[in-house]
Amino acid sequence: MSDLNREPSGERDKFAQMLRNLAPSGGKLRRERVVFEAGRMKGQRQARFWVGMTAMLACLAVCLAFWIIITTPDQYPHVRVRQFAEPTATPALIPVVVPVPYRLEPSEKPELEQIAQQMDDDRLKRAWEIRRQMLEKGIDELPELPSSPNLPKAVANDLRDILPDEGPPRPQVPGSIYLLPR
Amino acid sequence: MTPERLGELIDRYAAALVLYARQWCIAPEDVVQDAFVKLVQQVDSPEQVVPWLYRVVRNGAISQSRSARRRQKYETRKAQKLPEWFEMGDDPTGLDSSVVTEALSELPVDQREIIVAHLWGALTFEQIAELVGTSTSTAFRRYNAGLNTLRLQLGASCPI
Repeated sequence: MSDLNREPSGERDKFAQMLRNLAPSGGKLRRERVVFEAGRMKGQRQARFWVGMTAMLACLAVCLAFWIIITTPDQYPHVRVRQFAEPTATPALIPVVVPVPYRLEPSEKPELEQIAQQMDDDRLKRAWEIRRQMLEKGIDELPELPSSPNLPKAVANDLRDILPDEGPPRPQVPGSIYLLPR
Repeated sequence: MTPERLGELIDRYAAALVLYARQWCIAPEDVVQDAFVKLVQQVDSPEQVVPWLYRVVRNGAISQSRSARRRQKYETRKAQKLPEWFEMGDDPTGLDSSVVTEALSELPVDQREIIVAHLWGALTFEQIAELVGTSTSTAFRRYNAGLNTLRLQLGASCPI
């Protein structure tokens, strides 16, 4: 600080001191208003900062969600959740007589086979034997069978017209259903 | 800038800043209020707060004066004489505030602003020179010239 700012001395400096003693008027300036306006402006500035920050984060979240949807659509299977109406309340339990189910025997075939072997009818035995061979070896492995002696001649002629002569001989099973012409 | 520090600055310098802004404009309170608001909005507080406030007030007052002069030149000139620049003093041996106001208002602006800044703003001549944009010696010379003019004008009222 230079000598120019030294303490007042002399007549001129006394006059300066008298002028300094006059208190300047603050006019219409109010301390509370200035403090309030200063705080409000500072608050607005902070509010702008947070508004900008919020907008930026929102944009970032939208972009991130869009990116996830675009890039990885197959990693997340579509799961449909369907809500059904709740079942009605279970009625009060009433004792009900439930019939015991009929229990079938494991198989009746052995009995039938035994019955067939015990019968004296040769035709039935033969038919049963053919059936067994057909089930075990297939229809192509069956031996050639003689024609049915009881088949009427007229019917045999009609069958000859209907069935083709070519191809392997067809088995003629006694007791089976024959094709009849109309 | 804490509210306590702001209140302290207002209590101590607001009236002198209003007086300083009156040299140019008719609504110095608005200029001073804007200066304090700008001070609060500063991220880094200035090293020397008082000279910074005077600089902001000076720029704001000159800017307001120019725009007001463009709008209503006549009304501005008329309104400049209305307000009192100083509080009414209780000391009967002191200077008359209205006479000082009138004498001060008739000084050239370059002398008047230096007197106001030095006497009531307590700025040093180095700070005033930086504020006004001149050298320290020039500021001091203008101060002396203005003070002598005031003494001559207030000679009858001056008790010395």
